[in-house]
Amino acid sequence: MSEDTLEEDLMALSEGIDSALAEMCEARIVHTYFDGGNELDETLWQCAAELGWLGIGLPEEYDGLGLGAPGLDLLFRALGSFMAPGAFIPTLSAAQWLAESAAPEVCQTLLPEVVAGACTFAVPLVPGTAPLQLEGSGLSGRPPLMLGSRSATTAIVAIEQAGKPGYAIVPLAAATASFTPTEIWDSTRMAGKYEFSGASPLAVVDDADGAATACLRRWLALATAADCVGGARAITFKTVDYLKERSQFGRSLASLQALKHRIAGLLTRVIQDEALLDQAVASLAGSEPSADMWMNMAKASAGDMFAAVAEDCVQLHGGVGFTWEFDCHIYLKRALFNREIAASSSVLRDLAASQFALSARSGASTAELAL
Amino acid sequence: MILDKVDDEAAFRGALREWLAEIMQADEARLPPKNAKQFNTNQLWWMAERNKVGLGTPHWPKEYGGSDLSLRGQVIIAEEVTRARAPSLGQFTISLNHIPATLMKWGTEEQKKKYLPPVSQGTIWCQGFSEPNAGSDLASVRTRAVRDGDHYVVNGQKIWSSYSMYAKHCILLTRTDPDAPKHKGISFFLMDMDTPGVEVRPLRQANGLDKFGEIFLTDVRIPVENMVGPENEGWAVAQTTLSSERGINSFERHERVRYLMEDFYAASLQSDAAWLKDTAMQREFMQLFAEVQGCRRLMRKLLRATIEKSPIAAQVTPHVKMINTDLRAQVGDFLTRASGPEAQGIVAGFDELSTDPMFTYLTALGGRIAGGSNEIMRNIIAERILQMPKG
Ligand SMILES: Cc1cc2nc3c(=O)[nH]c(=O)nc-3n(C[C@H](O)[C@H](O)[C@H](O)COP(=O)(O)OP(=O)(O)OC[C@H]3O[C@@H](n4cnc5c(N)ncnc54)[C@H](O)[C@@H]3O)c2cc1C
Repeated sequence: MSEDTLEEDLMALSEGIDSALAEMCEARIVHTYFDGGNELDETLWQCAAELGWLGIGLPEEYDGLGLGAPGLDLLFRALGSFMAPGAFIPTLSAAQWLAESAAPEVCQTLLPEVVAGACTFAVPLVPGTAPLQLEGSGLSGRPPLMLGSRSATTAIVAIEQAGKPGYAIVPLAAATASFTPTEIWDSTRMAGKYEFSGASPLAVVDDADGAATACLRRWLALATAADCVGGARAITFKTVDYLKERSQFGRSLASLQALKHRIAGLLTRVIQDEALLDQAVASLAGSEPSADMWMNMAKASAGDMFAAVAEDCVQLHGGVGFTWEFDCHIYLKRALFNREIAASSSVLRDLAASQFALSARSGASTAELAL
Repeated sequence: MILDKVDDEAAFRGALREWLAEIMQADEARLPPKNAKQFNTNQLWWMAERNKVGLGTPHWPKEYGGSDLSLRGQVIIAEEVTRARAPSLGQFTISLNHIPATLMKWGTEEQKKKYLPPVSQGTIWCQGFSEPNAGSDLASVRTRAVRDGDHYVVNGQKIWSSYSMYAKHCILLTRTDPDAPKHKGISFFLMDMDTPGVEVRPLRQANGLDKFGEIFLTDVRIPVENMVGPENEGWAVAQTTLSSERGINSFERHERVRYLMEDFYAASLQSDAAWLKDTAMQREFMQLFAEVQGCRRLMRKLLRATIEKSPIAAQVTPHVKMINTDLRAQVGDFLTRASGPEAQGIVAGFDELSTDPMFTYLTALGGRIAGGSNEIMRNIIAERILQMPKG
């Protein structure tokens, strides 16, 4: 696909995504979902399947739209902006991972199901940690906190088989995998703990060189970073609207220079991290060797930024910002949860530092290649 | 009696520790409350226990049920209570600080006799100052009070009134002269919350707790003798009330931040937590710990200045409010990050003793907004302390 047609496709898609989300994820509906009062995650999932969002990044051979990293970036910015609930991050990241890491038969079995909305994933919140032993009798044990819900159909689990690291792709059957949801602060997402007892994997992906971990981390980082910049932009503008509406001391709060500067500073941070994510997405789409380095840094930066921006928006709203009824706390809780996905900011920056060191040692200039 | 030993610091601390060691065996002290209701019951229990040994309202004059305890004595109690990780008296914030400060200066003898002694018996007060359109700009309150014989008839709405759903009484700011300049038409009342026409709707906070509420007032009749200070002088009375916010109460809360950090560090050592191997996190922790210590010094300086009626108090107060509330939020944020993904799950109880990092963090965000937002504190520093022009 040429770059121009990709741009055009993305533009057209973007409008469709925004208008569908504006209707389905209207703030009051999200609040009701947050309090357990509707099943927005499911209706949204159905809608996403119908509109092709679930295959946005996947190759066309698996019924995807073939838009890769730029497509996912666009979708997740929109989902983040509307506080959309559901298993988008684990499922869409796992799907990209499968497409790159798993055998074609496995992809053929699972990916069209993902696109149709019938297959959803549970994945490690932080890939590459605490593997379970995979033995002849199958997979048993409790991995650390996983991203995913009770309705997930397939799990990706870090394993060790005969001393070698890898990932098991495990169909979730009640008899061999029990799920206990964790009540998390951000109730627009779902996470929990599995206990496997002799589950038999559909397939195993080798990770001797760490490539599978890096790949899963990369897609989780992309989805999460995009959610962060989308969310941060949205809550910043909602805060601008609120300050314009609100008067104290006989004048609009938006007319106070101290607050104007604060908000301007927030928007600058958002724009800075959007640009950094653009870099990571472009590098990834161009399969550049520096892609992982940029993505690790983009996720770390966007996660920290979103948390700081959402926190400041609570403050700028005053008392209402501290209530359950306004949007600020939902964005803030999503930001704090996002910060943990893929890996902490410290870990991501350490990874980026070793990647940078590697290219520096080989005499390459990472910044020169990137535009 | 513990208070008999107050002149001998070592003996006083010894007696407090002995009492606290015993009280901390109780279920109410050991098991953190799981929701706002349990918190309420726990608070009543804790006030009753303190009162049994004369520590309900020890800082008040004897004639109103106190023991004339010196500030030094109050500091020691706060230090020992926090050291023991004993509960706070958060629900009695208004009862213990705002009420005595206001009534001592402005109250009639009848008001003092009627309202002060019951506090140690567990009477909860709430503060009905803020309104939907009068937050930072408190002087623009619109809740209307109109004289009708020996009563005032009050109509309006208050918001964000902490613990109003449990309160027996409310300190209420109303407008009595709508034609006067806004600071000159306000009157201050003591209102019984069970008066007909008073309705409270709890509001949930970002931390998940229904700890504050809206108060709707419809033709509420308040007896004339419940006015505090002269009619239309309520703004001056409210200034006295608000100046009591930064007393021993916030000192105690800040002491808890120190223990929160120390306890977290000890637990991290014990579990060999990953963040201990992260140099950047270590440095951040130490910087926060240093700032907490600096703030502890400032708090003591402020308390001393307050008791000596030194002008330094007014200079330090807005700084302390900002530093203290920012630190609590920053520490909460640090603990959340340092605890990793597990901290995203809701784990522990729901009060000042909670060790749930996210709860600590989210709760702390309220502190930056409540009691004069930190932006208003900056205005005060710039305009009143640094004499910079308004605007
Ligand atoms: C946890 C909590 C407990 C509370 N408990 C009580 C209680 O018990 N009783 C009670 O009466 N009230 C209570 N309040 C209300 C509190 O006093 C107000 O929320 C506070 O004064 C801010 O007012 P506001 O919410 O209307 O915000 P606004 O005044 O609307 O302010 C919105 C934002 O604009 C900023 N801002 C406003 N004016 C200026 C300015 N001139 N310059 C720069 N920035 C400005 C503010 O700092 C804030 O960031 C409580 C609030 C909280 C959060």
